[in-house]
Amino acid sequence: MNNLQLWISALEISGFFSLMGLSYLLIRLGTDFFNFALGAYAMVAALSTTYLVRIAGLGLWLAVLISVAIAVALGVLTEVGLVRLVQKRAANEELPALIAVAALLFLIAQVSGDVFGRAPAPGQKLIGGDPMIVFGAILTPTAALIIALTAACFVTVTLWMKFSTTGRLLRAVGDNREAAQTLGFPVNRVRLFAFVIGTIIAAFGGLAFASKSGVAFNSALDWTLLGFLALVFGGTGRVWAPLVGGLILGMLQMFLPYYFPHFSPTIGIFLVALVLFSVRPQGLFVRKVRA
Amino acid sequence: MRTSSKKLMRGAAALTVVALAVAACGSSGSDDASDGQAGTSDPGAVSSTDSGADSSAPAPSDEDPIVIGLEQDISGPSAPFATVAGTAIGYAIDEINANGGILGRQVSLIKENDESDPTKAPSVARKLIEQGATVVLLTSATSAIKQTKPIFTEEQVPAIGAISSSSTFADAPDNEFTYTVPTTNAQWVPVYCDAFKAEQDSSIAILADDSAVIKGMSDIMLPELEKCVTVTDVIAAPLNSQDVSAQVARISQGKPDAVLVMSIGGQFEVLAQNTLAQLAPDLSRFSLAGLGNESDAWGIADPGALEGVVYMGSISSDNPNTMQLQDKFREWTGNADYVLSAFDAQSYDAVRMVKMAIENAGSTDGAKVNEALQALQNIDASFGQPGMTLSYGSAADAHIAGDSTCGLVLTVFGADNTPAGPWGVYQPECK
Repeated sequence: MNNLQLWISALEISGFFSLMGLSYLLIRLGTDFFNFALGAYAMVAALSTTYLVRIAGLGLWLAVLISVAIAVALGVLTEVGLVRLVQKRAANEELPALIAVAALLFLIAQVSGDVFGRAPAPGQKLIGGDPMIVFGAILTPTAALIIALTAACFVTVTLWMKFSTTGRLLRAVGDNREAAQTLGFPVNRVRLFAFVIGTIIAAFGGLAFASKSGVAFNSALDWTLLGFLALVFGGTGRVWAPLVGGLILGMLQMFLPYYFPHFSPTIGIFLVALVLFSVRPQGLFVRKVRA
Repeated sequence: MRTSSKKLMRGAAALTVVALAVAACGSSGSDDASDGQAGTSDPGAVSSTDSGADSSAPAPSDEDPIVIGLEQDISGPSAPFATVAGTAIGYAIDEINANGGILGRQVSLIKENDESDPTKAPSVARKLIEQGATVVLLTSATSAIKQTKPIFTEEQVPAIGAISSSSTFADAPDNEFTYTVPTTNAQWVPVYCDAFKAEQDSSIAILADDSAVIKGMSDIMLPELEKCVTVTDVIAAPLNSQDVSAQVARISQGKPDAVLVMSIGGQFEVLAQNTLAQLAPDLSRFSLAGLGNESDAWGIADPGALEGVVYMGSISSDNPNTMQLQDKFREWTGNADYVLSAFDAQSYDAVRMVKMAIENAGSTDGAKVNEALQALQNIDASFGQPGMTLSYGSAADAHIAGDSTCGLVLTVFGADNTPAGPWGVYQPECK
């Protein structure tokens, strides 16, 4: 565990997992719903940016702007055109909407394959520059960006949830939609807001991470699963719970293959998830409610 | 708290169902590059007939076009390279038609998509035969097309796995009517051994993805490699790895002279090469065939990260047939910078061999065309090194076209992350 390079790599991938977990959490808090299409939004943002830069010849930041807008549009459509309708027709039953969104995940992935191509694409590097040497370990600009982006997102969201009216509304609506409606809270607007913020975070997470790993239409499911695992590990009780979950997931991904190279890290991760789910099904951090 | 855990559990259950569904749907996914190769480019549309012909078509007359079937994968895991091969086949048939066709008849290409799904592949093959295909070319994953072998034997319709570098499709049993074009991956090990020897690498480590196809290849290749070189470590990482720094750090501890990355190509290969370039820059790097044929993936690599990587290619700028074909593709695609891939060349050669067989048979009768295919000898290949030839025979082990390991070209990447040409240290010779 004294290999600094591995710690930097662990932080880098943890950052992405945490961002995806945070997106899940925000939408979960605002809508009481797990949005499994988040990985697809992140994938679309990354693939679209690459497409717009390489094929359409747009400038990087214009491409980023358009791509994030596309991802947000998908998020809004998911909430307004799918989740809200399905929940209404299914008398707020959770499962039909979950299945519908899972189907949407595949639909977006396949359509993206048709639109952007099925071959993997390079993610666009959002910041340039040479790698830095930190105590003998290499810190790439992409790693620095992901770590900084993660820190910025978690600090901002924590402060926003704590001190802003919208932040508190978000939690109130997610806790009890009927009660919030009765009290006259703008429930639909708050839900939509949760989808938009969650999608923006997922989109930027995907954009930043794609410049390390590349992106393809089938990244959608991987990213969905990883974000969800970060949430499962951390729980939904604190804003920074997915950060802890993402760190655990990243460390497992990094150190399991280092110390047990002939043991599949995927098996290790799911074993840990299984144990964690058995012992603490609500995740590591739970919201404390006064009796 | 209870509600929270219930919801997490429900979410996990739903996501598990989704993941299982994907695993089931994509069970051939790990075999998607069972040919160890991947696609390169998007050369454009071809003017070939799409499927949809009447399955109860009347018996063809001498005026009717000769029908060639193409079983391909345009939406499954092999789509990135199968579509490249399909386009090349379309170009080759357009060329034949522009030059008067075969036996004075035009050639019609009918296409069906099996999505590299082993359960769909047989019915797709049968559909193509019912639509009147004289010969069927297949470009999907080997795991899928091998399921079609009994059908071609039963229906006496010759079939060629145009880009399948696994010998499974051409090997017995049920191979009386099935053939492949590329040099098979069974011939790679002696070439690697000679390459390691030429570079004076006495020890290597292997970094592999965990796909079924690479596991299968590794099981075959590793015992043979261990006879010629010390293998310090064999580490498999998930195909969808987000980071392989730990695996590379581990490999570096063994202090090998070289590392062989065994992957089906794509993102995993690039991630591995990026990480090796960054964390183990002094290691010699070798690769299988995937990365070299996958120009889209080169762009994912960090600048200069592929420099010096030696891969098992099939294209040599020293082969005049290859260069001639590249000129044709540049004209057909309208792209003056088009770089010919192994898929282009092997698909083109598959069509050439079909044309020769039908002409020599003087008929479109499946059995006669099959005999004529088996009589083809020493046909100059459009891939491999100068002097590479293709032959079939009537013996059960003579259904793989490549006559020599010189269908393989060890190729090295340059600083611009594109293939710079044949590796100067060692090349297999044509015998």
